[in-house]
Amino acid sequence: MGFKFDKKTILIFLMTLGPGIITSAVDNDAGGITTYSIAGAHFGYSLLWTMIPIAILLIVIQEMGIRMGIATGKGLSDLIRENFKVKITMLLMIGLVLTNLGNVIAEFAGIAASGELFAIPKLILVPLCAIFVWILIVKGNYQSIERAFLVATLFYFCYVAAGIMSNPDWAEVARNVVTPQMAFEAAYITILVGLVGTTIAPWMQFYLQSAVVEKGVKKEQYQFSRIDVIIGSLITVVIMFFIIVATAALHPAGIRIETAGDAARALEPLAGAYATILFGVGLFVASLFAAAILPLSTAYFVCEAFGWNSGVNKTLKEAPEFYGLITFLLGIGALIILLPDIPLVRIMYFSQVLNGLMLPVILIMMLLLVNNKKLMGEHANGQWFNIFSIVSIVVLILLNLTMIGQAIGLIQS
Amino acid sequence: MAHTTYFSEIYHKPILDDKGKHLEKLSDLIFKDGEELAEITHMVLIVNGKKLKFKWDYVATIGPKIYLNAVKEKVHVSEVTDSDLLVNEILMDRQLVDINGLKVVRVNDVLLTKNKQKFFISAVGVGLRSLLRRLGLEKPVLLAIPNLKANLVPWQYVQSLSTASSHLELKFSRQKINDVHPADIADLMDELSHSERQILFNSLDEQTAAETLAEAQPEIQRSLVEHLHEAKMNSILRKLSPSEIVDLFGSASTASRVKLFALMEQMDKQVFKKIARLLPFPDEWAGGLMKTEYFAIPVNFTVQQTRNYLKKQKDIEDFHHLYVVDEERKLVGQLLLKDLFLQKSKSKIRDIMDSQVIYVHLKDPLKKVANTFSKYHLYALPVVDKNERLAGIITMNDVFEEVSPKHWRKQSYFAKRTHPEK
Repeated sequence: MGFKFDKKTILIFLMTLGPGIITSAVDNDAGGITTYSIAGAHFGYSLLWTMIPIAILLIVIQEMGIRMGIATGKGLSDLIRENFKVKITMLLMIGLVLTNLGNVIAEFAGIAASGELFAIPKLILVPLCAIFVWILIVKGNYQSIERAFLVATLFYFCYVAAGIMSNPDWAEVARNVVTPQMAFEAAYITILVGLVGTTIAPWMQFYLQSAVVEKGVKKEQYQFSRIDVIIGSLITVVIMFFIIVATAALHPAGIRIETAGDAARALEPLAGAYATILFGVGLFVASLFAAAILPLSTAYFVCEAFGWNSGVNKTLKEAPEFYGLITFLLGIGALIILLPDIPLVRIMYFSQVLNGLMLPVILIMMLLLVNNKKLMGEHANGQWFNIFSIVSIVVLILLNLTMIGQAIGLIQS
Repeated sequence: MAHTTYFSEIYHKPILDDKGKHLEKLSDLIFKDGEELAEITHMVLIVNGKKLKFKWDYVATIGPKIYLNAVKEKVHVSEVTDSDLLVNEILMDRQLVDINGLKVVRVNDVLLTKNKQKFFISAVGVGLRSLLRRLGLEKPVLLAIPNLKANLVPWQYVQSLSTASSHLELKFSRQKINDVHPADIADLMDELSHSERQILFNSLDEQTAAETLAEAQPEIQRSLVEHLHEAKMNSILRKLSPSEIVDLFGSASTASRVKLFALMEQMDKQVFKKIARLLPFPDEWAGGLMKTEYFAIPVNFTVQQTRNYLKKQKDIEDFHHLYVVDEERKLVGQLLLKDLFLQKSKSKIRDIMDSQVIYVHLKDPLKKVANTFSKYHLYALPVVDKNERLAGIITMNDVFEEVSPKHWRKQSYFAKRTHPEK
C-alpha cells in the first residue's frame, strides 16, 4: 500500500476511524457475551482457536461493505432497492425489522440481567434505559451520538481486566489459540456455530456501509477505512478472547451456566468480587450500546429503502417514519422484557434463527452487488477475492443452516 | 385507450400483435427527456437475454394486455444501446430531487399521460399509494382509506441524482435546479449524502454553484470544498466576494486551506489584498463580519462625479450605503442615495453629506455591533481601523445571520416566491 506515516496521514486516518470500530464493538452485545461466556464455562479454552478464523471472516465480509459504500456513495438498502426492486426489498425489510426487534429484546434482557447483579430491579432499570436511549437519539446529532458510542467502546476493556483477574494459565491459553480442535458432540458444535452467528449479523452490514457513506469517506481514503475495519474486527475477537478466558475459570469446577448473568455470579468465588463487577458493568454497557445502535440502524436502512426522511439531525415532525420505527423497536423491546414469566431463552433462540435466515440472503445480495461492474467500476471484486469471499459465504451459510436446525430443535423441546 | 397509466400497470404485461400472437412481455420503456414532459419513444422486451427495442408507433393500445398494430414479423426491432434512457432501469426505485418541494424522493412509480397518440412521462409517484400499487396492495388499502393521496411530483420539477460513474447517467436537457434560490439549494444540501451532494453541486452552473457555496452551512462548505476540483474551485472563487471567500476559508479543513490559499494568491492583486486584510478577523469581531465592497466617496467630489463613479463600479451590489472619506481614507461622513437625485449636479459632497456617522472598530465584538444596530436603528454600519480609516461595512443582514439562533436556521423553511411569467 505504501503510504507515509506523517502528521497529515495520521490525521486523515483518525478522521476516517469510527464506523468499523463501532460496528465491531456492537457485535459483542448481550447475545455475544452470553455465547462467549457459555463457550468458556462449558468448554474451557478449547474454542479459543476460533478467534482467528472469525476475525478473517469478519474482515472479508465487512471490507466488501465499506468498498461498496465508498465506490457507490450509497447505503446497502439503497443499492438493494435500486437493483432488486420493490417487492424483494419489502420482504427483506419486514424480515430485517423482525430480526432486529428480536435483537433489541435480547439487549434489554442483557440490561435486565446486569441490573440483577447489582440488585437493581428490571422494572426500574429497563424503562430508564429505554428512555435514555430514546432521548439520546431524538435530541442528539450525528457527532454527539458517534462520540457517545466511541466512549462506550472503552468499557469493553472491563472484560480484559476480568480476563486477567481470573489468573489464566497463559501458556495453555496461547497453545489453544493456535491449535484448531474439534469435538464431535452436539453441544460443542452448537456453541461453535453460535460464536460465528453472534459476531456476523445482517444488521451490521447495513450499519457499516451507511456509516461510511454518512462520513463521506473518499475513494483515496479507502485504505484507512480498511484499517478501521481490521482494527474493529480485531477488537471483536480480542474481547471475545478475554471473555472466554475469564469464564474458562469456571470450567474445571464444572459449573453450568445459561446466561451471562450466571457467569458473572459464578466468577465471584473464583476470581474475586471485582471480576463480577467488571463483568456486570461490561454486560450493561454493551447491551445499552447495542440497544441504541440497533433501532437507529434499522430506522436508517428502512427509511433509505423507501425514500422516507431520516437522520438524527431531523426533528420528529420532519422524519415521522424514522423516529416512529425507533420508538416502536425500543418500546416493544423494553415492554416484552417487563412482562412477567416470558420465555427469555426461547426468544433469544428465535431471534438467532431469524438472524440466521436473513444473513445468507444479505450476503448473496452483497456478492451480486459487489460483482456488478456497472456499479462498482474498478472496485468490483477481483477473481481471487471473489473465490475467497464465496468460500467465506458458503462456510457462513452452512454454519447458519446448522444453527437454525439446532435452534428450531431447542425451541420445540 | 386510457389517457393516463402508471408504468407499474403495464410492466411485465403481455404484448400481442394484431393477429393476437404473443411477443415477449414488456420489460422497459425508453424515453426522451424534454422540458416539461418526457416522450416515450420505444418499448423494450428481452429476447434470449438480449434487450431489444421497437418504436412506440407500433403500439395500438396499452393496458393489462398491450396490442400492436402490426404483425409480429413486421415489427422492426434493434438492440438497446447505452445511450437509451430506460424508465425501469434509471427512474424506477431511484432517488431524485423534487426541486419544488425541495427534498430527495424515491421513485415508486412513473405516471404516463397520453397526448395526441403519444405517451409522455408527466409525473413520478413518490408516496405510499404508489408503493402499495407496486406491491399489489393499492386496491385493498383504498377500500379502507378511500382518499389516500397520490403524491405525484410533476416531471418538470424532477432533477436527477444518478451517479456519473456509469452509463446510467440521466442527462436532463435543462438543468432545472438552477432556477431554485441558492439559499434553498444550500438547505437541500443538508439532506443529501456526500456523493449525492457532489452530483447535485456539479450539476449547478458556476454562478448558482458559487452562491450556493456561499449560503451553505459551514460543515457543508467544508465537505464541498474538500471534494471540488481545482479548476472549478478557481472559477467559483472568482464569483465570490472577498468576505465570502474568507468565510469559506474559515470553514475549510486544513488540507483544503492550503489549496484555497494557493488559488487566492493567483487572483487579482486588489482582491487578494482585501482578502488578506479580512483573514485575521474571527466571526465574532466587527472585522470578521464586515464586507469590503462598498462605496467610499472622496469628500471633494461633486454630485455629478459621484453619480459617474457609482455607474462604473458594477461589482458592488449595495447602493444604499454611501460613505465619504478624506484624502487619507479617514471616515468623514455619510450620504443618502436620494440626495444624489435631489441635489444639484454641481453641489459639493462636502456640503450635502451628514458628517455625524456612527461607526465601530475592527476589533469591536459582535455584541457591541449588534447593540449599536438596535440602539441607533441602523441598516448599515461602517468599520474603521485603528487610524480611523474606513475598512469595511457591516449590513444588518450580516449581523442577523450571526445572532439568530442556530436551531431556527436548522429548520427547513422555504420562502414563497413569484414565478417568472411564461
